[in-house]
Amino acid sequence: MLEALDELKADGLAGIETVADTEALEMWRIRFLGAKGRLKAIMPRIKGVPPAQRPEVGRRLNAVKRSLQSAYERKSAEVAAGAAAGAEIDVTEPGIPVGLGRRHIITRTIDEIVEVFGRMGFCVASGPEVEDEWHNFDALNIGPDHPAREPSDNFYLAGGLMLRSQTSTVQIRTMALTKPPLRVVAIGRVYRPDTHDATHYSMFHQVEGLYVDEGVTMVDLKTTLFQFARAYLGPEAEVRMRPSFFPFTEPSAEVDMKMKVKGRYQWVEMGGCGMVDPNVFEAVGYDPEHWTGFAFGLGIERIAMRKYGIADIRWLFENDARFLRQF
Amino acid sequence: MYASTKWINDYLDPPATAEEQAELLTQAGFPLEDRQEVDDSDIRQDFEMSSNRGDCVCHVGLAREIAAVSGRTLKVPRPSLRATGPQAGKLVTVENRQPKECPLYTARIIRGARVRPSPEWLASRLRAINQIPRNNIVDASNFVLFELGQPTHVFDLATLAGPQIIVRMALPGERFLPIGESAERITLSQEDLVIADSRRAVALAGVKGGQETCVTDATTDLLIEAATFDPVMVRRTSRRLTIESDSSFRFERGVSPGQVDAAAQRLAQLILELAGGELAEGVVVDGAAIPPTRRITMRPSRCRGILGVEIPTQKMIQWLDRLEFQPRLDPQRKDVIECRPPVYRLDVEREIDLIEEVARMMGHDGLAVDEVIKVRLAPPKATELAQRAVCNALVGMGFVETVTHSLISRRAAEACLEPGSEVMSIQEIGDRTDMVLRPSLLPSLLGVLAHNRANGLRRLSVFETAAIFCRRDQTHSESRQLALAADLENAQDGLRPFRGVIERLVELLRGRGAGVEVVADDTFPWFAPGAVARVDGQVIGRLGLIQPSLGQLFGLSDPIVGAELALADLYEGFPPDTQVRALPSFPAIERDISAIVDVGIEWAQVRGVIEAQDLEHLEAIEFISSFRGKQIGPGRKSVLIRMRFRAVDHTLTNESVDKQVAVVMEALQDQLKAHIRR
Repeated sequence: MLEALDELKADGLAGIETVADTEALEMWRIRFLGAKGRLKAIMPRIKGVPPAQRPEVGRRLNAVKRSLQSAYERKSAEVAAGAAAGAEIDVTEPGIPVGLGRRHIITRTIDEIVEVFGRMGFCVASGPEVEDEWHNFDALNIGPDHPAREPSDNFYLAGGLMLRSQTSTVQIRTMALTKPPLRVVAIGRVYRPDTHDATHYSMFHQVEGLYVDEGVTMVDLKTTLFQFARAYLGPEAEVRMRPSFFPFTEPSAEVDMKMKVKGRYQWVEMGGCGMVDPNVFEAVGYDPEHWTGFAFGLGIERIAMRKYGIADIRWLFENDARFLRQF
Repeated sequence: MYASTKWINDYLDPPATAEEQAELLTQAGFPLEDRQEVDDSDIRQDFEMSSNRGDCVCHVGLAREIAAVSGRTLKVPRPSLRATGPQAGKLVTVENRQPKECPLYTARIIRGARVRPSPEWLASRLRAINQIPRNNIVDASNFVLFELGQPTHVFDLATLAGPQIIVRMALPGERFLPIGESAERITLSQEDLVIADSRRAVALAGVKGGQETCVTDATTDLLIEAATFDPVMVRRTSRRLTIESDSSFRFERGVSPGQVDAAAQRLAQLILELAGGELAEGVVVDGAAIPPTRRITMRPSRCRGILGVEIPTQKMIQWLDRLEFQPRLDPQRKDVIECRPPVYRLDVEREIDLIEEVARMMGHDGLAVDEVIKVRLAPPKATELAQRAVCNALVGMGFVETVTHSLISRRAAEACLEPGSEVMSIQEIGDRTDMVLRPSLLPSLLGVLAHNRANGLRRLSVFETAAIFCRRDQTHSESRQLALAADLENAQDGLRPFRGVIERLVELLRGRGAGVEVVADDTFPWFAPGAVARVDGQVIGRLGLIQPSLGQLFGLSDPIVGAELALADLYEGFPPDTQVRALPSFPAIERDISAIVDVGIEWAQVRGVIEAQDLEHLEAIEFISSFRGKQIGPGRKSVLIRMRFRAVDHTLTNESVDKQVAVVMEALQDQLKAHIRR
């Protein structure tokens, strides 16, 4: 018994010398001091020791236990100090990746844009993606014979329904439910049956803004877009408007914004805008003599693609984690 | 539209450089898309045309805009014709049976013309805009098209049966051979408008002439057609037959009846100059009267109110005058400008149209940006905040967000369709026939996992928030879904990883202590096994392992865990009202029990038995693990349970806790036939 205890002590003290890190130390602890360790295993044998020898064996057992425990504590402190000192740590080893996920760059861009317009008093409105033709066309001053209604340019569904081709539908839904004044942004998916290539996808996202109040002017429109550009695209961003034509606004304009593309400020086409057409106000029961308003629509993909140098729109919807994790 | 810089300058005094033309036209609403140098020191520029300005799709139209915006003088050719032949009406008859589709049809006759190559001035103008010169007659017709925007057509009079012109709808199955080197005979429909002679269709109205009656080298006698056609009819025919022409492009944008005759005279004059011949007296017409000039009024105050710019009334009048709108300040009503826009401005009908013209003439650079904006505070919406919090929480848990197409294959959609629902399909377009609106986001997420696995990326967790669609009980439904999918790393875990995620999300939305109840449910065959999750008795979604056959559809053979959640109800009232609890001041005592029970016994039952004992000071019951194996025996499993006891006002003793644990053990033995190991 005494020999066995000495052997245990010798093994334990020899073993702990080779311990270099916390993991090995824990293995050692389990082996010698653990609930199923060698020390625990030897203890029942004391019953087989003749009573006369028991006190001495007991003392020896305690001594072995103490010495193993103090060796353990000493080593613990050493290992901890060693870790702190970095004596045996290769600091150039790569970091262990942290398991954080990612927002999709489209939804992140949407959140950022909503946030900027939120600061300007715009709240978020939403509407369905499956629309009827009245909301998608008629109420937006797009008559029954308008080329935009061609079956080849839209995703029609049964029963006079379709996938909305623009978020302007939300304008109509919001105005039909709300009395002016109102200031909203609607963001969402829109659908047009384009053949997929680097710059076309049959689904994309738009942010649509609408502001209706007494005395809203085209200068207010340009100011709002300008403030957005400065807040979102940087302190040197500029806004340019060019006359254009949309059935639901008049006067209408194309919006270009000067933003940083590959380190250099460049003009980028962002979308369309204009003063809400009186016919649209009439369709939703607003008096166009009393209320004026502006609306704008910007393409989310276009903004994100330019901002981050995304050369192919399909990358956005392929959802390759190697792409998504770059943001 | 391709425009030659020199050609535009034919009508401008003083002329403008290519750069000036581009800048002024951009300001007017026709941005430059491309610029190329062509021979003869000309420059071809491509301008984007807006769909409401058919009057500008020609060189005079663009020159007119430049003149108006820049203050240059516009010089438009004014043809003067001398007819020496007999009455045109004696040489041909015109019968317009479709005055709605063809508001105006006119025919002029020239006899004895000589077809030959065009002179260089004409050929070079056409070449500059990428047109191939053919012969003096065809080129003259093209020249007028690109000069004035009025499409015309010249028939070889000798080939017209009658000679007679009938404007009518095509007959059922009527055949027609269009002009073109490789053109083939096409079959028309009754919705196509044709120009016919007494025997057959000789032109597809507004779209294309016919090969059998076109001008050839042998032609001497000509019928000059100048007409207007309904834009919608032209567009439909052009699309249906996939024949696009410079003519259809213009008619689709609207050609005013008021400009037809001037263009016809211009063409007749050019042909007489280039090919000689004798012009018959008069014109053969069948059509409605040319609508009178419209009178439209604009209030200068209203204009200022819309634009937000203090433009003096006199300035507005000056600009509208440059556009030839004949503005006049109403002497009786001071704040009213009356305009009579020219016939070609079909787009100008209302006051707002005049305001837009003022804005265009001012230039949008004239809109000065304000430094300040008025703001009404818009309180954030609970739904929006909650949605964002959920996304951020998932990102923190390692999920990657995806954005995938709402249209998926019918097969994948039908595999995830709730009983009693139908998928919503889109109407067939070309080859996109089998796409439907997705009734669940899971197939898309499986596609993403498969795509990434193909690129060597495993152990991926993804989520997406988007609309899902289906039809049920004769009506359609659209709702937001949050779907999760992940490779199951450890089959032993079963649904626990996602249950943990869902519990965390619910806690986020409802506050600490909000519980999620999960019960087995096999009514959704795309999960095996599947379960529904409830909060306060309300179903918030389902989760499960993806049915292997669905996984196979995407080439996924390893187990995938998925969830479909509808959290909208939980978003209301976000963020939850949080009141902190003081931290406990007395220590807890923990006790582990290992209970061996039949494999069919659910954790919820085990937990239920313990809860039913109503133990004093029991703070928590935790599931630690469950284990099956040889040592335990077939049909049995070992469940390791941890109980934590704590009193708020004193330190518990081991004896008092052990007594309670004994009660639990007894109850588990009695009620669940458990064998307890300590």
